[in-house]
Amino acid sequence: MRAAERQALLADVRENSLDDGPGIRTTVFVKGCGLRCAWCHNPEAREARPELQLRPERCLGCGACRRACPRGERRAEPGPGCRACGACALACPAAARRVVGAPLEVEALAERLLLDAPFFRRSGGGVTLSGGEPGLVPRPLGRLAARLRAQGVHVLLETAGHFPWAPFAEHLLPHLDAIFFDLKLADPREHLRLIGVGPELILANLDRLLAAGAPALAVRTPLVPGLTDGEANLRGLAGLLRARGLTRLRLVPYNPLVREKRRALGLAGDELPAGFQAPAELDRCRAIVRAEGLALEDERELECLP
Amino acid sequence: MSASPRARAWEAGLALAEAWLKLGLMAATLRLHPRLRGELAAPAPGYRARLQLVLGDGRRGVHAIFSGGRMRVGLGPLAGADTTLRFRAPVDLRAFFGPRGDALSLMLENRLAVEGNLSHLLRFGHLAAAARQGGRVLPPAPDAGDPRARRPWQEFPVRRVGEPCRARPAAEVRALEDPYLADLSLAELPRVHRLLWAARTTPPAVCVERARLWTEASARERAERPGEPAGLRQARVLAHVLTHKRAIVHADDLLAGTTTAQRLGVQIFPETGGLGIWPELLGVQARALNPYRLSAEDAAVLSRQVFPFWMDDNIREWARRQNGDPLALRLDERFVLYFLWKTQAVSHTIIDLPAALSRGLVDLQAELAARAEADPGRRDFHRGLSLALDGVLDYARRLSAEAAARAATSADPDERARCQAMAEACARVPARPARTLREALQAAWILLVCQHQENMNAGLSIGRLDVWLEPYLRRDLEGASDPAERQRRVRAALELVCAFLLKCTDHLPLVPEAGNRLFGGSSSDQVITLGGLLPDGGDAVCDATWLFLKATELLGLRDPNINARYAPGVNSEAYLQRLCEVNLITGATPSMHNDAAVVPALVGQGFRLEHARDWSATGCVEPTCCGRHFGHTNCMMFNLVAPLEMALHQGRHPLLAEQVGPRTPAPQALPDFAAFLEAYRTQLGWLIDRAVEANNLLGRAHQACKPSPLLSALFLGPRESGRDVIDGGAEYNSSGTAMIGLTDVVDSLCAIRVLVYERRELGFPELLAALAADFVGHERVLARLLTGAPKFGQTQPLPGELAAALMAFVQERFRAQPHYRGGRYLPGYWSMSNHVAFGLLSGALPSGRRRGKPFTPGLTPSQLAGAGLTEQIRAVAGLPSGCMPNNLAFNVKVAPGAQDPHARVVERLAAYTGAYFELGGMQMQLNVMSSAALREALLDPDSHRDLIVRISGYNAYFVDLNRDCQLELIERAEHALGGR
Repeated sequence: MRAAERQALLADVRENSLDDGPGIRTTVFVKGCGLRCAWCHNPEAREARPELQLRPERCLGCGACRRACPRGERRAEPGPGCRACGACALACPAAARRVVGAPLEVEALAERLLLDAPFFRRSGGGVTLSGGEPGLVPRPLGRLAARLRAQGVHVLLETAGHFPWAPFAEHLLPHLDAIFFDLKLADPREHLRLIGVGPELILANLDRLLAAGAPALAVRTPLVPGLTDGEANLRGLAGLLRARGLTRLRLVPYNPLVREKRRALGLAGDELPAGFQAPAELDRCRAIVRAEGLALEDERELECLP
Repeated sequence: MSASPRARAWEAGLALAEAWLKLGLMAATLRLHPRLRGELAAPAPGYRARLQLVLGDGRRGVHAIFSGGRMRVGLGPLAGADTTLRFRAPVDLRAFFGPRGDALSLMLENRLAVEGNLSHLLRFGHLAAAARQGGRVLPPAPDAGDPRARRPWQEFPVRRVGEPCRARPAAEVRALEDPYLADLSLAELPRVHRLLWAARTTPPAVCVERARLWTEASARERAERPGEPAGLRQARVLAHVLTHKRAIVHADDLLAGTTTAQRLGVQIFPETGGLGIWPELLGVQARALNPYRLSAEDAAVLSRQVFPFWMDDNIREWARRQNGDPLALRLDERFVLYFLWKTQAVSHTIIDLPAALSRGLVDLQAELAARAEADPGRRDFHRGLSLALDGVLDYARRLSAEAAARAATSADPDERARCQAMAEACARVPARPARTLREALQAAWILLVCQHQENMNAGLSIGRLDVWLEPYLRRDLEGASDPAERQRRVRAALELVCAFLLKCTDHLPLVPEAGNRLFGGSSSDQVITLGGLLPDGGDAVCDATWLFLKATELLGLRDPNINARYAPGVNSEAYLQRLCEVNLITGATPSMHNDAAVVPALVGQGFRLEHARDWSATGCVEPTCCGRHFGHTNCMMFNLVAPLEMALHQGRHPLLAEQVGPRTPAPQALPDFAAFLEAYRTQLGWLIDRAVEANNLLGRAHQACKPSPLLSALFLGPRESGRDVIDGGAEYNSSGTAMIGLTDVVDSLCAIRVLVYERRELGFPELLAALAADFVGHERVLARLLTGAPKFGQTQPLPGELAAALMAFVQERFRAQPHYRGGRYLPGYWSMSNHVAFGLLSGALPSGRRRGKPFTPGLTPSQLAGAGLTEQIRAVAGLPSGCMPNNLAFNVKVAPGAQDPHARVVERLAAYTGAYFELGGMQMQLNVMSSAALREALLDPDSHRDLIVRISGYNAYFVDLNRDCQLELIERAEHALGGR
């Protein structure tokens, strides 16, 4: 099946989101991403297939899940081999398990999102499309975005840039108001090592977006202590921006909550730092970017957009 | 219980023997102790009562007989007892005689039920304490009180103020250059700073002046004019108080007059609920929560002169006696079903202040005289009103004289000028029309003080002060063309408004220990309402609105309770943002209302549109059409969960352990959800009928015993109709109710419908066993209840539909009720702090709420629903406001991050509020603070004495709250206002 026609799977819909763009927003997370960032903050959205997710704090230890698992009592955990059939989630009395990845139904989702339209309008907010990589499912998201914008809702895309250009440009790009574009590592070898792919497609897409002119675009770098926050990397990224005539970068501070999320999915995560970054550390990163001649932005503001 | 019948009998016998010995010791002490000799003899002819204390079924007990100045004690029950104390178990009888044996608290926990006259129990409690303590009053704890009282006023903390003008409110502001008054802080207003320091650090003290004068005059009237009409009698009594009450001017005062003779006085109304403090008289200085100062002499005045006079003739006992101790009133004394405010006060209303300000009392008296002439049949009535006004005028004259005397003797020129100004103002108002802001505020204050002598200030609200004072403010500012002079006048106006708000804090309602548990931290709840629509539909926001908002921001007081109306499309967005900014700075005030929802709800109840547009909140949130609508808007607080517990137990209430309501089928026998719902409605309807019956009986007691001639004189309607407000004389009549726990009921019904009836996952036997065990050992059931059924606040249709259907049922049931003064019962959904008290007394619920936990405050989604802020707002806004003519309280706790810029937080608050109103929401109140900050205050109260929080309708200082209320606030769902 061609990527553009692929059905989108929902990882989550988060209302009253204040972190994903300006104002009060609802963020739609779709499943599926071609990158394998070592620090991935939305690991539940990585695979383009339904997955079982645990909420261990709710578990009563009653064993209903094990008894329900068609693969046998000892294998009722998420991870390799689990087909996310949902039998255990259905059996769990405490909703400590759920299958993530329901098909995205555009009309039903749009109706739900529009319930919050008064909040969007009054706060300068809107809907954010995120993931996963929303650029991989441009057709359904394009229809969703068009439907929302017809009602005056601001639509913002959060992307890591790794998607085939043509279907994106045809179906989704025309219906966006703004784009948050992530650049993570400057060095191509590091990129391959820590992200699993080289940066070529991402940079090419950035160039095509800039060439296409619209819409508003901001480049972001997620700070991961020890991985993306080094001086060499930040200077390298600044260089990539300057070379494209971009003057601003926004730094997204590290959030250790990702460790909990990864644990809930049965993924390793303990090697990531357990705490928020110290203010001094953030200041160090900011100073590097400023020294490179770029302006910094509060990552929640939109007025920075070119 | 595992004990054998023999062991239980032995235990009971032992407890009775112990009680008999303690009673004997008490009798001996009362007889022999020199300090206690007068207790039983005064006043003549001495205390006469027969009291019995019985266990369970009443076959075994002890008794005490008081007569001839003596107390005699015996074993066994007593025939013809005035009062019977029925203890649930021997352990409860023991607790009654224990060192902390507070009878009201035992009643609250339903360990003690009282039959007959409650006053004897209260007096007995006092006598027991007196015997225990040898008649001595316990001294205040050495570390009690506000430590800042011992520090200079300059060190009293100054709140930060809002940021300078961002958006100009267009035509709404004419006289003020900067409506935000951003350059004025307490640092520039030293007098206000001193007054605030004094108001906040003075320990409250019981004031006996009003109670003594009231009793003295009532005794005289009873002896000399026994056949006098009640209204005229009350007018004479009130006039006696007003002509004898001390006229006081304090240092730094800008407005003369005080509610009590204490700097911060606790008023006593022995004819209503005042006797409730009797058991604590000797210990109230030392109690841990909200202690009051009270000297031994004043305690003796109350206990020997005042209280004995009212034992049979307070409102509750009068109603009981006249109606043969009816069930409806006895249920009120069980605390867990409903709480009736008429035993305490009827003052949840608002007078016609504009008429008093613009006409003056002399003109009102002229009208009364003319009406008396025209209608000789009503002459006594009009004469009573005029007599009450005479009292007010006498008090104002004496205030004027006192201020003049202070001016004459002061060496300080500033004080001389200030006192002279007060003397002149009191010489003019409220007798004649006010001309300046000072005169208008002075007149308003005198009228409030005088009303507080007539009725306990329980939510007597002040009204639309911004609209009503605007003409005086404009006139004051108009004359000044010089900018410096103008600035000086603006400052003077702000100082006056601050002084007025601080004056309103000079008294507190009497709260017995049991009340601390019920109404933690509540003061008088005097609402001032700002903004909204004018009667003609125009924009009411004006210069005075912004002045009051500035004063609110500067002072950060819990009371007066500032409420703001917002009329979408008429009031400016800048005004809405300013409301949110003041809320952010104060943390908890103002609360905000949507005119587009409130006004139609009132019109739907038959109020004329222009009168509905002239509404003001009363007490907590309840709308009163100012000056013409006697709405006793908090006549009852009703526990909606109690009928649910009754429906689950065939009409028995688990806490009361007896058949209360009608016998509905056992839930297992109910074939479908509709049948279960019908059982709930049967219990609910029955309980509404009882509560209304009780309120009507108490209303009639007020009609017979305690008409309000002063209130009537200042109202639209009574002068014309010749009837007191309590007799239906006002233009509009209604009684407002507070229906508490709807969310808990709806969530429980959803769980029953979905899990028991639709999915058949759960049977009633299993559910009832889990509830009885508070879910211990039933974790699977609890998990299903918490996660398997929709809850109010989530984006699901069922809870909202059920809520709306129940609200319509409640409205219809109340509409069908008779009303003692020919009005209507108007339901509302807010809870003061009774969601905590009722919750404390209620068992585990099918919603998954555990035993003893608070219900959700007002009408707010439960934190168990886990709904986000926008989801919650949509759910509450979707409720039918037409079924809430007495309003609701939607409590939201939001926590801005430390990094969030001020302007963005303000904008975001305004976005949530504005969207809520756009979606049809009626009222919303924001606590802008984090749970972490509240936890800090819990641990270090001395550093957080000014932290105000909104409970469910009113504000309180967090440190004054009982622990349950504090925890409830901490546990409320917290919504972040910024990212991360």
